[in-house]
Amino acid sequence: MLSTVITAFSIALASGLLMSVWVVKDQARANFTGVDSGFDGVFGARGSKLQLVLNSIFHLEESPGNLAWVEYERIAADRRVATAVPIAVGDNYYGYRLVGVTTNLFDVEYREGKKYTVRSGYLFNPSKKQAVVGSFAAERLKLRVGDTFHPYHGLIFEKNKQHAETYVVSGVMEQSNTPADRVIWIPIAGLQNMAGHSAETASDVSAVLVKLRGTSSGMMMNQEFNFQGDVMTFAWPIADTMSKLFNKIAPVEMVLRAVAFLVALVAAGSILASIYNSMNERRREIAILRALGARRSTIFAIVVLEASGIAALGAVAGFLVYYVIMSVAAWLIRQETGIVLNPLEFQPVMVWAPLAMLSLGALAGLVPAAKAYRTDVAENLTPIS
Amino acid sequence: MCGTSGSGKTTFLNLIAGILKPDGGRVELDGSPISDAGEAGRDRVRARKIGYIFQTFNLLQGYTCIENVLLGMSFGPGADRRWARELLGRVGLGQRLDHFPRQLSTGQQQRVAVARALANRPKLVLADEPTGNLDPTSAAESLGLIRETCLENGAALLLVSHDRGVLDRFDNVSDLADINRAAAWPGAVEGKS
Repeated sequence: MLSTVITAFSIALASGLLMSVWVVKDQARANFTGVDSGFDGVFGARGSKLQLVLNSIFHLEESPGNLAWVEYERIAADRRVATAVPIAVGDNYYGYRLVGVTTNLFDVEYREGKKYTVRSGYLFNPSKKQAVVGSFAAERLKLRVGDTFHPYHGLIFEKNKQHAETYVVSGVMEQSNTPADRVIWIPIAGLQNMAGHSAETASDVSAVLVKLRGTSSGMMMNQEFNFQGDVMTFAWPIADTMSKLFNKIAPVEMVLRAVAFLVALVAAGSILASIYNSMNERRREIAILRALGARRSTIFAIVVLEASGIAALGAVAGFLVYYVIMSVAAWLIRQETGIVLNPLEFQPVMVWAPLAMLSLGALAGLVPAAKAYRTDVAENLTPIS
Repeated sequence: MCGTSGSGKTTFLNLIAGILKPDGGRVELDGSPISDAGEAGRDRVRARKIGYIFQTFNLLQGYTCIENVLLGMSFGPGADRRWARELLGRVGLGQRLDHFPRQLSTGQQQRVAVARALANRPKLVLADEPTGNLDPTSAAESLGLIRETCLENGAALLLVSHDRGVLDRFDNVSDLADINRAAAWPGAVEGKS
């Protein structure tokens, strides 16, 4: 009984791992390459496009550098640009980023038909020290409308780097299931002029998010800024940049998949070993069944069914393992990136992984079944002393 | 049938049951030569026409009384819970249907084995030293029960034992030694058999 439970658990672990690895990979890729916050591209200092996108869209990583305000004005005035939103980063509140931004961010549809809105309170006044807190950040920091806080310098929380400025929470945002949920939005001038920031770069921006007037505009600007110019980097299209990231980490995905497959093989091996070992103790039982008229093929089928039954039990329990792993993974990913994974969303792996475990279990049952098939009836009918 | 220890009593029953295939000669049951059939054919005959009571009962320990009887049916015409209950009631275990073998006395375990042997309404019941593990009182009771139930169900009974007390209760007793001699020197015992 104990060995059956342990074997079923190892199958559950394998099945749950297989499903989790696949779903995290697929959903993370879909979410990360699908999130562009409603923008077509990002302008930033000369450097890595990936770093620029991670910093300005996903609010991860450090800024690759600053752009002068005049560059922002130049981009905003470009006829090919429909909307330009400057952002400035550099401060945090208990690890949650403060992002300075202009209010036109809230006019952009981050998803078709969806704009960032406040759940309670109102948008910040650009000339006041007010903040709109993303839903996740508000929940974690327990910030409510009317609360005040002092920002901390830098992107990583350090207790002794508190700014003197006091900000008032003017609003809490509606949950958007995007990285914006983890951000505390403040007026861009507020972040630029925070005490302790360099006066020389007070008007600089970290990046400019743009919505273009057509695909051809993107191609032209890509040529103009990335190949001909040497002042700015233009990350466009955003999804392509993120795809490249996933292509880079593809070997890691492969290793994870290989580990999941190995666990599945080990689990199948444990089915084989536990049933095969029990065959010696069950020779008499098999002989009795044969004496009662059971055919060799019936005995063979019983053992294969038993192995499949253990695998089926494990495959069912695998959904529980999957749910636990996914819940933890989804929590961590949301915590770190704001991206929300849905463990309950159907994926084909939820069908093929349990079926694969079932087949593997049945295959593992063939060896002990062959042993049972060969059991000599007359020899084993007497009690084994 | 009588025979001393080691004379081949169990082997003889196993040949009749089709568990073993004879090297020579024929075993016929109900007019059919089962020894000529393949293994699957012999299994089928055993499941449908033969009931077997073993000296050590050979009940499956992980199954209850009624499950043991139902298991005996499952390889034959199919499980019939009502008949299984009726049989167990007949052998005096109507109140012990859901007991496991380890919860029963030796005599009760043997009664389950009797019920199981009759489960498929066999033509022939083979009993291998059925009283070997019982005390004299239980043995006498058990023997009576086996004979009665076989008679009630129209099954022939072939019982092997080395116990004179058991053999004396039967009118028709053969000695396995005679059969062995007949097999070794067919001419020598032709007139006798």
